[in-house]
Amino acid sequence: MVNDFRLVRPKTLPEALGLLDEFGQEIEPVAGGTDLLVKLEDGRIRPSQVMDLSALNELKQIRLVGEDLHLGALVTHTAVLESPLTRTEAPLLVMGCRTVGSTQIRNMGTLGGNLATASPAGDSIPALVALEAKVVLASKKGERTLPVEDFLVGPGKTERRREELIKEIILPCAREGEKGFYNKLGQRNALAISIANVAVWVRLGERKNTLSRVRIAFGALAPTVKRGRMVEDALTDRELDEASLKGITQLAWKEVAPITDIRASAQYRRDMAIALLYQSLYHILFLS
Amino acid sequence: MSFRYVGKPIPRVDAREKATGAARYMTDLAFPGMLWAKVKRSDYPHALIKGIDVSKARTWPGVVAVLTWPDVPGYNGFGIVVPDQPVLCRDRVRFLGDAIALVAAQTEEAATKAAELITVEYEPLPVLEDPRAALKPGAVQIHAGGNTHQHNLVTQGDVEKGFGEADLIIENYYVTPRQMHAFLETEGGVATADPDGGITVYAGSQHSYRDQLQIARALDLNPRLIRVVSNPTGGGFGGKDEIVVQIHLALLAHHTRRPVKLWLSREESVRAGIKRHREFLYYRTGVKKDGILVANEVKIFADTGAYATLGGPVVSLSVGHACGPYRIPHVRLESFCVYTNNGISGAFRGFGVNQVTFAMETQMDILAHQLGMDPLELRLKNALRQGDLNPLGFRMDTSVGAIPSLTAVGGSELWKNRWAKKAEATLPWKRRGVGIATALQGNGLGAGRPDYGGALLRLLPGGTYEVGISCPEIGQGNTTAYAQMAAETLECSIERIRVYTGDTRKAVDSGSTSASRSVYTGGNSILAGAPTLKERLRKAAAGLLGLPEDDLEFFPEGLRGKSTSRSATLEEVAREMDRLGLSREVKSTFLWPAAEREIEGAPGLPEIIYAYNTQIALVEVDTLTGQTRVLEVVSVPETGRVINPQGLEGQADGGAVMGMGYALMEDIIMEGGYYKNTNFSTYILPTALDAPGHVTVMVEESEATGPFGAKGVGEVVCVPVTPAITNAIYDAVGVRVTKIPVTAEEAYRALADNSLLPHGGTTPHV
Repeated sequence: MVNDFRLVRPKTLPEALGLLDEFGQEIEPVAGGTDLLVKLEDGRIRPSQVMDLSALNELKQIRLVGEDLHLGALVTHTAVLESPLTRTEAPLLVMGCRTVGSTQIRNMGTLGGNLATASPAGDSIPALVALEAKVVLASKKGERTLPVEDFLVGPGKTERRREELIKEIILPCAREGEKGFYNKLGQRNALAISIANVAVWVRLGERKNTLSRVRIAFGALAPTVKRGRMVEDALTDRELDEASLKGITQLAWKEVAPITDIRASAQYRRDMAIALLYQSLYHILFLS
Repeated sequence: MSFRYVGKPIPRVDAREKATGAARYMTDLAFPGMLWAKVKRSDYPHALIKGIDVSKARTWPGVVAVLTWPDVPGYNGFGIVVPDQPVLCRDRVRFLGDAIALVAAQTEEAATKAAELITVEYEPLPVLEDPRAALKPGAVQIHAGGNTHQHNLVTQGDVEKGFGEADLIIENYYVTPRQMHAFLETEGGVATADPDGGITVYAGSQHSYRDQLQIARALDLNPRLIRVVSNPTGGGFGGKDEIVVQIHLALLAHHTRRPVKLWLSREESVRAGIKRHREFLYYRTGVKKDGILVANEVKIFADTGAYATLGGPVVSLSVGHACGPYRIPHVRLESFCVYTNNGISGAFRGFGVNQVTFAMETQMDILAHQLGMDPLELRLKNALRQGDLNPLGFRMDTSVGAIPSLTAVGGSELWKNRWAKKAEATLPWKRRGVGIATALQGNGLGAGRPDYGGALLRLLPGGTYEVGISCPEIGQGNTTAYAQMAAETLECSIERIRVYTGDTRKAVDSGSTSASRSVYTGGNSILAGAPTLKERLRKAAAGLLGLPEDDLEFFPEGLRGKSTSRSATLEEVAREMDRLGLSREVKSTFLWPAAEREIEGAPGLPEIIYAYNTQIALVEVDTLTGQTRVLEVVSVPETGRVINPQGLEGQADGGAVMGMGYALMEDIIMEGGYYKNTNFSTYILPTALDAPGHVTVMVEESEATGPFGAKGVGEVVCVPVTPAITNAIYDAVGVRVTKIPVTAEEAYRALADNSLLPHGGTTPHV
C-alpha cells in the first residue's frame, strides 16, 4: 500500500534542480510514473517526498541541433512514435519504443524515466546504446554528458547522482546508407517484459552484403543493456551470406551473461541472443 | 417456425450500462459508515496452529473488530460438496490462502496494518505438492479421511481384449497447467446488517441461493434472514461458483452491525481463489488399421489442492469425457482426485473436460499420423451418433452434434485451403501448420444431483413483465437470452420485459450459473410458467373485450381479437386481472432430465445433454525462438438452436482466446506450496494483440428438450481449441506437445536439434 508523502510540482527546471539540491536524499522524482507507482504500491520504496516533473514542458521537446537529435527527458514513447523528426532521424528508436508495454504505458512512460529505471529489459535502451546516444545530466551546479552505455551501472543503478536530473538525450541523426533493426522476444505481443531483445544499427558497405560499421546492443541479457563489440567487429567489412551470418552470430553467446527468472532460463536467453541477432541482420541484409 | 426474438442478434440488455461505465458492480458499492475488512491468511502452506495473538490488532487505532474461529457462530466450514474448508482456521492450515482472522476497521489502511499485527505461532508440517506423492504410503494426511478425495473407476468391455484386437497402440503421458480464471473483478463486495437482524451480502458470484445457504450454516441464522445479491458479476468462469469472501463479509457485518467491504487484491485473489485442476494423465489408445478405435485406458491424477470444493465433480467429468465424442467398445478409465497443499482447484469453464480433451485429441492426432489417415476422417469415422452407446456404456439419446460439427469444419475455408495457407509462411525460419480437435461438453449437473430451475413471472400494473431467474449474469449474456425467450413466449414486445437475476429477494432459485446450464434452465423455467400466466391474461382479456378466449391472440402490446379490431393493452388486462382477483404472478419449477442411475464408479455421471464443438487453428512457429503465433481459429459449435447469434459469437471469440492461453501461456506456478506468479505481470494472459482471427460457424441441431431447441454454449467453446493449436504446432514443426502451456522456451528446446538453427543446437553451459 502506498505510503503518505509530500508531493512537489516544480514549474521550471531550475526550480526542480533547487529542490533536488535541498532534499536530494529523500526526494523521488517521477516522470510518467509507470515504474514508480508499481514500486510505491508494493511498498518497495517509501519516499517522504515525490517530485512530479510533469510541468517541466522544457523537457518535452524533440529538436534537431546540427547533425544531432535532442530528445527531452520527458518525451514519451508515444511522442517518439508520432514525431516526424524521430521517424526520419531515429527509426531504430521508434522501433524500440513501439514495443514498450501497451498504448497506455507508452502514453505515460518517458525516455528519461526508462533510462533512470535502468531495467536491463528496458525496451528503449538498446536502441539508444546501439545509436551511441548520450545522456545530459543537470544539477544546480551545472551539466555533464555521458554515453548512455556508461550511464548504466547495474539493474536499477545509474550514474545519476541524487541531486541530478536527466535533462535530455542526444543521438546522431540517421544518414544515407544506415539501417537499423530492433528485435524483441516477449511472452506475448503486448504488455510483455523482454525475455531478450537486440538493437542493431549498421552502415552498409560499398560492396554488396557488406557492412562498414555495426553496432549491437543486447537487452535483458546482462545486468545492463550490453554492447556486442566482438560480434560487431566480426561482422564489419566482410562479405556476408546466410552461412557466414549463422557462424558469426554464434559469437553473441560470448557477449551476454543472462539470468534465470520466471520468464525464461539463462540458457534459453543466451540462445536467443544468437537467434534475435541472426534474424535482425537477416532482415537488414536480405529483406529490406 | 419463425420467431420475433429467438435466434436474432438482439443487443444485450445491459450493453449500454456496461459500455458507458454506469453499471455498478458489487465491489463498486459503498454505504454510510462502511468499514473495510482484511483477512489474515496463513504464512505456511501446511502447519499446525499453536497460537493466535490478535491483541495488538485489536488496539490499533480505527479497528472495530478482529474475529477468529470462536467468533464463527455456526458451522466453521464451507464447500459446495463437502464443507471441509474452515471459515477461520482453528488448529491447522492446509494452504497459503487459509484464513485465520478477519479485521474490520474505519479505513483500509488501518485494516491492513492491523492484519499485519496479528501473530500466529505455527508448527510446520511436510508439504505435499504432487498428487502422486500424496498417494504414497506414509505421506502426511491432509484431511482425516486421507489424501484421496475421490477415486473413480469405470470399465466397459474388456480393455485388454480390446488392445489385443488393436493393430496400433500408442501410449503417452500428458500434463496440464493450473489455469486461473483471471476475471477482471476480483472476489469482493459489501455486507450490510439489516434492521430485522438479517444480513445482506452484495458480492459477485455464480449461485446466490447456495451462497445464502452456506452463509446461513456458518452464521447459524435462518437462511431467510440472509439476502444475497450477486449481480452483475465482473467475470466468473467458474471461479465464483464457490464461496471466497461471502461468509467473511457476512460474519463481519453480523458482529459489527455495520456495512463492511472486503475486496481482494489481485495477489490475494491468486492466493485464496480457485484454479483449474492440474492433471497428470496417462493414455493408452488402441486402434484398428482402418482407424476404428477399439480400446482406451486412461489414468488421471488431479491436484485438487487443500479443500474439496467441486474437485470431485470436476474430476468425474474428466473421466466422463476422457474418450471424447467417440465410440470405443473397451475402456478402463480411472482417476484420483487428490488433496495437496497447493492452491485450491475447483470449477473452471470446461470443468475437467479441457484436460482430457487435450490428451485425447493429441492421441487422435498421433493415431492419424501413424495410420497415414486424414485427422478429420479419423474423427468422423469414430464419432458418436444419436442412439449410440458411448464409451461409458450409456445411450446418447439427445442430440449429438459431433458429425455435423466435424463436417462443417471440413467445409470451412481454412480447412479447404490449409495447404495453401501453410505455404504462406513469411520468413525462412517460420513454419505454418493447421491442427484440428473436437470435443463434447456435458450440460447440467449430471446424475444423482437434482438439477432444477424456476422462474418468477409477474405482470406489473404498468403492463410490463418482471422475469426473475436467479442464475446470475456473469457477463455471458443470460439476461438478454432470458428477455428474448420471455418476450417470445409471452408474445409481447421485448421492451416490456424486465429480467432480474442473481438476487435472492427478486428471483426464485434456479441454481447456479455453471455447467453450461443457465440458458437451458432459465428458458425452460420461462416455458414452464408462461402458459399459466397467459391463460389468466386471456381470461381477463376475454371478459374485457367480450370475446371468447379462443378468438383472442397476443400482440406486442397486449391482446386482441383475431377477427375484430378490438384490443386491450397489457396495462388494461392487468387492471382487469386485479378486479377479477386473478394473480398476476406465477412461480414455475423446471426439473432437468437426468439419467435413471449413475454410472458405476463415477459419481455424477452421466450428463444427458451435450454440446459439441470442433475447432481448427492455423499457427506460425518461429523455429529460431520457439514462439508460436496463432493466426486463425475457426470454431464450429453445435449447441442446439442459437438464442442470440451475437451472444454465441462473443462466447466463441472469448473461448477461443481462453483455450489459446491454456495452450501457450497460462499457468499458476507453485513450488513447495508457494505461488511463484501472483499477478498479471507474471501470470501471462493473451492480449488483444495475441488473439487470432476468429470465425464462428454455427451448426444448429435442435435439442428436443431445450428451450426453443437450445443447449449450453458457455464452456465447450474454449475446449478443443487447445489441442487444435498444439496439433497445429506438430503439423508446422514436428514437435509433439504433451505438456501445456507450451511456452516459446519449451518449444525451442524440443526444436533444438532442428537444422534451421544457426548454431545447430543449444549452446553449451558456461
